[in-house]
Parts: sequence; C-alpha cells; structure tokens
Amino acid sequence: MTSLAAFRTSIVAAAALALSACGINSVPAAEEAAKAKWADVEAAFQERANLVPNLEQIVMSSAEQERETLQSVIQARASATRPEIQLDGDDLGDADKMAQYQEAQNTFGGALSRLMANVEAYPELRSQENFGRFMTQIEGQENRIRVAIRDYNEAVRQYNTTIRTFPDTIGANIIHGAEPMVPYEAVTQGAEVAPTLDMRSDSDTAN
Amino acid sequence: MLESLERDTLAQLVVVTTPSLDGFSIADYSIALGRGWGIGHRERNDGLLLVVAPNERKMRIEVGYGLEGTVDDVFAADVIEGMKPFFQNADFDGGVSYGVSRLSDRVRQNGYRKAA
Repeated sequence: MTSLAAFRTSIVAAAALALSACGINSVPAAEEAAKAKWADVEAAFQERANLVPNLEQIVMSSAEQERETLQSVIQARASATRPEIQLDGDDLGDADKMAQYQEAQNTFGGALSRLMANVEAYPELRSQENFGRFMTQIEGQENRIRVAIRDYNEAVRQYNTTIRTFPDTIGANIIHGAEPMVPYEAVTQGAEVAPTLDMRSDSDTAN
Repeated sequence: MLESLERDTLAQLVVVTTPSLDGFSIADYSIALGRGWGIGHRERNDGLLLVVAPNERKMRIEVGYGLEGTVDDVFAADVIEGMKPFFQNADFDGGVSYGVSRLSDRVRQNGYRKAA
C-alpha cells in the first residue's frame, strides 16, 4: 500500500517534471517578457514624439527659413504616431507590420537627425536656450530608444530560442502554437550588441 | 557623502573612473556597468552612476528609471558642463566632487523617498 502511494507520488512528480520541461511555463514566460520589452520600445518612441510640441513652439518664434526643416520633422512625427502604425504585443510575429512600424520611426528619426545637423547653419536657433534643452532631451531619448530596442531584441532571441529548442518546443508547438517573433532591426550602428564588460576584474582592483 | 545620501534618500550614487572604455561608447559602457553592478534598488531603480573616462575625455551620468524625473537629461547635461572646467584645469578631484554634490543636492531637494 505504501509502496503504491509512493509509486503514485513518483508518477505525479515525474509528470510534473515532464510537463514543466516541455515549455508549458517557459514559453508563455518568454513571450510575456518579450512583449513587456516591446512595450518599453513603444513607450520610448512615444516619448520622443511627445518632445516635438516643444519644438513647434520654438519654430513659431524663429525665422522663416528655419521652418521648412522643422516642418518635415513635424510631418514625420504625425506619420509615425498614426494609430494604424502602432504595433501591439500580439502582432510581434508579423514581419510586415514590424517593417511598417520601423519605417515610420526611421523616417521620423531621420528628419530629427537632419534637423540636428542643419542647426549648425542657424545661429539664431542654436543660441536659443530652449532649443538647446530640446537637443539634450532628444539625445537622451534616442539613447533610451537604443537601449529599449536592444533589450527587446534580446528578449525576442530568448523567446525564439525557447520555442525552437527541445524540450520546450513540444509545448510551444502542441499547446501554445507559438510563432517566432520579429526583432527590431536597428539602423544605428552597434545598437544590436550590448557590450560585455569584465566587471569582476574591475571590482577586484577597486577592492 | 555617498553613504549618507543613500542613508537619507535610499538612492545609490556611484562614481566610476575608468582608464579605458574598451572601445565602447560611454553610453553603452555606463549602462552595462550600471546593470552589471546592479546599482540602485532593483524595484525602485534609483541608481545614479557618474562615469568619468579621463583618457577618452568622456563623462556620463546614467540615471535609473526611478530617478529620471529628478535627474532629467537637461539637468544631467548641465552638471556635465559644469564639471568640464575642472577637468580642463586638471582638477580631477574638484570636478568629481562638483558633480557628486550637485547630483546629491538634487536628489535630497526632491525629497526622494526618505528613509524611515
């Protein structure tokens, strides 16, 4: 009797082990992690777009010839924040939608960086204190976007690896019907790879 | 000074000087360092990292998400600008303590989560 109970317990334990090893939990966990990182990417892009109204105020007070460059930024921003461009967590496997999103953000980012480069030609604009503040904020935000994209791509890589490798792939295919997700292809050089620093040797010398 | 800031506000401010950025941009280097060392509380994300790379002539203030409202980009850029004259006069210590005192004053002023 006791041996039968023990046998039963071991069956249950083995079944639990087998289930937990085949992606029942790991697949959704990796999926949610990637979705959360995507939300960070979207939030970072949105924050960049939110900076533009400050820019519009500066334009209004600036000379005529500067308005054209600034106008293209405002247009690209409007295009990048269209609702049909938005990409929510359930569409991360859709390569076309991702490409569309990226294109809109790249156009907007490109217009912004052209403006930054052109600003050298406009001493009047450059000398405005609030424009300097805007430049600093944009620079900081571009950096946050880069970090968010990198984190998202890493989460996607982990998710895609999870659903393709044994034993998680069993659960991924049979139970979750998991599809691979699309990484964000960064245009800025070096944005894909996070640096790995030898932190230990650093802290050793500090001690 | 850094310890008392952490005691009073719970925020962690860490100063790092490095002889080399190993070819990385200072932004990448700083964020890898901040995350690698786990500066700041995991939940509150209230780490502040001041990185100085004298040989590359680069400085950066990396701000944990929880402190971004307090130490925003504009303030951080202003602190960096203020540190530059010290370094130009080869006053390394003066530059670092200027940066540290401005950052810690800012965190204190904003009464960031007073420790019980």
